[in-house]
Amino acid sequence: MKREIIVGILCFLIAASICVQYRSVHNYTTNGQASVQSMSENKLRDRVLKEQENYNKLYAQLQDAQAQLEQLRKNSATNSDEAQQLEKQLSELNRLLGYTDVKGKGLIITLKDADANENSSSDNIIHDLDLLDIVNELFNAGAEAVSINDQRIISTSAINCSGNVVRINGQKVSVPFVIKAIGSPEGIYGTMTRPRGYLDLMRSADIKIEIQKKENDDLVVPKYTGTRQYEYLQVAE
Amino acid sequence: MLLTGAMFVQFNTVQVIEESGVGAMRESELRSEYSELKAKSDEIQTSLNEVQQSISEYQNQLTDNQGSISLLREDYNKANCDLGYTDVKGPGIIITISDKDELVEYYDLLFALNELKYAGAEAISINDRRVVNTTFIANIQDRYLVMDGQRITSPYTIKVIGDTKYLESVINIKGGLKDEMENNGKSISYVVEDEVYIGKYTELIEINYGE
Repeated sequence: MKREIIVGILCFLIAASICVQYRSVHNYTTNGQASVQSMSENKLRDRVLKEQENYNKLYAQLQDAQAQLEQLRKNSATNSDEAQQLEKQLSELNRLLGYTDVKGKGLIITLKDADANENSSSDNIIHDLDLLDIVNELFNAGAEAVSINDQRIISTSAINCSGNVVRINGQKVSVPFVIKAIGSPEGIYGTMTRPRGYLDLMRSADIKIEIQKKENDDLVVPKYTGTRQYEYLQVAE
Repeated sequence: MLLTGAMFVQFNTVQVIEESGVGAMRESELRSEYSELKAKSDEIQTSLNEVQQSISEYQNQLTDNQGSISLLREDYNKANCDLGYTDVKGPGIIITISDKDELVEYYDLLFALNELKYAGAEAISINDRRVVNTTFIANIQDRYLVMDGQRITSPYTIKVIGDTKYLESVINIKGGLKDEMENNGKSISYVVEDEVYIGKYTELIEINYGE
């Protein structure tokens, strides 16, 4: 008798948990609209997840290898003054290129979409081209290094939109957008907040804007984490 | 026991899928997500191979002073090129955007640059001014355009080095550069070239406010 009760309780628990699980799976796949999750979608999802894992692994390996290379360069430069000189110049170029974190004075701008209401239009959300304009204005204001949500802006950085996802350097970014700029805090602030500036325009569309001056040399704009290879370009002699 | 174990595993999988945002994606999104990830992985793999190659080169030359110097010089030259401090050449296209019924605005050129970068441009110049990390374009008093502080005027000649197939496609695609310019009263044309020369950036790039 005791055994049967236990088996009964177990059966009930299993049934209940299957039900809960079904519901949770159901909730996130349908997302408010009816959909049938096909086999091919599941397989695809699997492949995407595996590729993501592969990407993360390769990325970590690349970071390690780059650190090792940098150390080796330093070591190999101890042999002579000429090598030391070259190593110094190379480090400086890499800093200017955005291949190192930069720490200093500057400004942080945080942007959030306007609260949704019945009058909301596409002006009330932040688009890829808005970010492009703000980056452009920051450099005009004298910014020396800029990042958006930790994506460093370099000469090859594109800011684009696929569906409703914004990508910078090919990486997804989403609201809130935290834009960091190294440079004179006063100078950049003055230019960015001027009447008829781009931020002024966005504020009139109810975009939420916060600006924070960083005077204490503790603002970090992270390094570019992408890769840069040439398939077509050659140095012209 | 087995059943609960299996369920636990499944719960975990659901959570991973949800965290990565993959859970809510539809088939077409999944496909493009996959191909983008795959392309990025391939890119990183190529870079990783290059860095590992450099590592072994440096290791081999560690005790050889001249060898170290030539490796450092090679890396220095590559960095110089990345920054825009060398003249470069390669296959590409030359685009001309000019005032027509309407004046070309700073955002037209900004849009053009962004599209070309998206298409994988390896080097770009406008009116022979090289595009670098800190490049900006601005309207001055609604009267003329400046690029990196220097005045530029219509026609705007944009030279680009890269995969001409991709570069052409961002121009000609519906809603692309051509539509954007022509629908707004500006004129645009381009030619594909086997070899485009782009001159070096001639000013100083500095980071003075950060270490």
